[in-house]
Amino acid sequence: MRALSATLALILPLTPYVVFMTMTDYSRLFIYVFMGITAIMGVVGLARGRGLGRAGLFSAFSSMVLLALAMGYIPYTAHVALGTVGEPALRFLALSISLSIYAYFLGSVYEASNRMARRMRELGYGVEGFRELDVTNAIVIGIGAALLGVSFIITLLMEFIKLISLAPLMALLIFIIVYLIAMVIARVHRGEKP
Amino acid sequence: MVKEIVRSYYLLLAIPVFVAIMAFITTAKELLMAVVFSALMVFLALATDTELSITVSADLSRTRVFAGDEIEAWVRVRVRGGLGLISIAMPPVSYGDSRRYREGFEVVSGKAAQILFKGFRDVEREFKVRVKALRRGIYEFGRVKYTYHHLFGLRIIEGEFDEGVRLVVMPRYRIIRRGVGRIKPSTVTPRVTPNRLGPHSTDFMDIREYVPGDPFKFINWKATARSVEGKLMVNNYEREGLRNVIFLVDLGPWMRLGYPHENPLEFGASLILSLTKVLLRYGYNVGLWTIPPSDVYVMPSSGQTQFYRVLSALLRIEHVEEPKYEFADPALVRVIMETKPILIVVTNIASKEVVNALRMSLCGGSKDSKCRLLGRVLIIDISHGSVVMREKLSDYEVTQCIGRVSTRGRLYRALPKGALVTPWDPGCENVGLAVARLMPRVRWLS
Repeated sequence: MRALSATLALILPLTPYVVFMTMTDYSRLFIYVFMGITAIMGVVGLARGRGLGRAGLFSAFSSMVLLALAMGYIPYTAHVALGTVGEPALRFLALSISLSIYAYFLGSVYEASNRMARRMRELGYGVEGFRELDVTNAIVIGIGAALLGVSFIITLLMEFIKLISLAPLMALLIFIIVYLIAMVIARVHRGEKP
Repeated sequence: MVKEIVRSYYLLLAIPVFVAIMAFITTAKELLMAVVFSALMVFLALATDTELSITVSADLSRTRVFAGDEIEAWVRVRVRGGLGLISIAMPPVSYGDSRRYREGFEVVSGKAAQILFKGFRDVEREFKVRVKALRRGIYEFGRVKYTYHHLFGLRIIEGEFDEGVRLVVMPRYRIIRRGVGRIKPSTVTPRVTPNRLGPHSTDFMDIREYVPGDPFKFINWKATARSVEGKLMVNNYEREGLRNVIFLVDLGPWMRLGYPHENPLEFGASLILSLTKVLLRYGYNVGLWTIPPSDVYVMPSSGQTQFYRVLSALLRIEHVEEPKYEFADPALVRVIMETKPILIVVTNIASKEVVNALRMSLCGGSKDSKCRLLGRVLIIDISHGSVVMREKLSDYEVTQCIGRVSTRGRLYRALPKGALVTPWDPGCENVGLAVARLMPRVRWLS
């Protein structure tokens, strides 16, 4: 299961670029560069045993930036767009960005379990019988997949069941404000000492 | 002790907000799914980042064992709150940085390091590990270390528990039940015994001036009244017991040659204990000092309690990497001057350095063949060759041990005159046989 976690953490961050390549008219070279950086980050993170999750994070953030340069307020203001993204591509992009974030969590869990496995090897116990580590990875894969399904359902519900007549962008703006307030409250209650 | 490292907390919190901002900038409502997903993940991470409560109890099957014995250690772990991986390190792994523990124990069965997954439910586990004690010593054996890794990397908590369990690993010794020749002193116990430190008998010896520490009941009031200078006088009584035997344990680096649990120092401890047992049975006063002098010493005395004093001292002695040899401890010198004991030096004469070290300790560095301190000295030379070469020797199937090394003869000749050297190869001869061989020599020196 740890191997599956590592494989998913390596492959899933590449999915947004695959969508960009196959469903948009972005410059291929541009996409290859980002894809290469993500792949290198993933492989290096895997080899070092630290930083595997960052590939997912980089992939999610960079693909959103690429998207922001193709549609929305930035091309509207700058009168220049990096490419054109159709509606079907957007749906797949949303899914692949979610997968990249999922990869970030998988990478974090893989790192933690790998660190423990290494410590056990140092103590001379070998890697056999690390059932607990496999269980952990299996649970995270399961939880992530379940949450992906739940978020898909929530998105569908938000799209089709219009309880409150609110523009999606206004909803996002409200979410950002509410989230930031909740974050501050959470921090105060946690008594953080970073 | 709990050390907490908070990781990725702000990064995690920033993900949904960044995705939402980007969705807002791109005006792509399809990105709502990514926002919802990241928010759900963050919610899960924060919801499970609760206060972790770990309780650990540890116990041992026995707290006093002999070197070579096996002990079972239990650790019960109860975890509440949190979600993630917990690694548990039990003894001896929890003392992993210490060379003493690494060399002192061997895990026979089970694992001294465990990993457990803490899910949404409380976890209660019991781990068992079977450990073989290899080296003598007093060990703290109650430390249990744990490290908690939150599932999403939000925090790492390191902590430890100490149950205060102490394990005493005693050196093995042989009880010689059969007679080992005549081991009582060859000379008749003199009327004025040289013993100074045994318990007082009722046999009057003389009257002397009072010194602090003398029992008040020994004060001779009539003699005090007669004293011209008005000094307090006490009766002096003969001490019980036979001759004094003092063991001098060499702590030089050559005593560490061999394996951590099989070296001249370990064999020497076993031999001293076996000899002590026999000598005490025959009424000798037994004492122990180290060379170079250290804080470990036992004043000569007799009785079963003395055996445990010697045992306790032997549990504390460790070899010294860079010893500074100097003339013997003043207390030892006084005992030697007053009681003229038999000195039994336990060493490993592996090189010329050892001879110099012995000369420095026993003779104050004197180059003469005469030695200031030497009275009757028996040097037990414990060689390490057979122990080190055991595996190689077994390949030849002819001999299991090297025996006496002829090159050591030259070194023996460089020792102060009057010192009787007895080589002992633990690979050829066990402790029991060595005791039987050594006792007539002790008697001869008595």
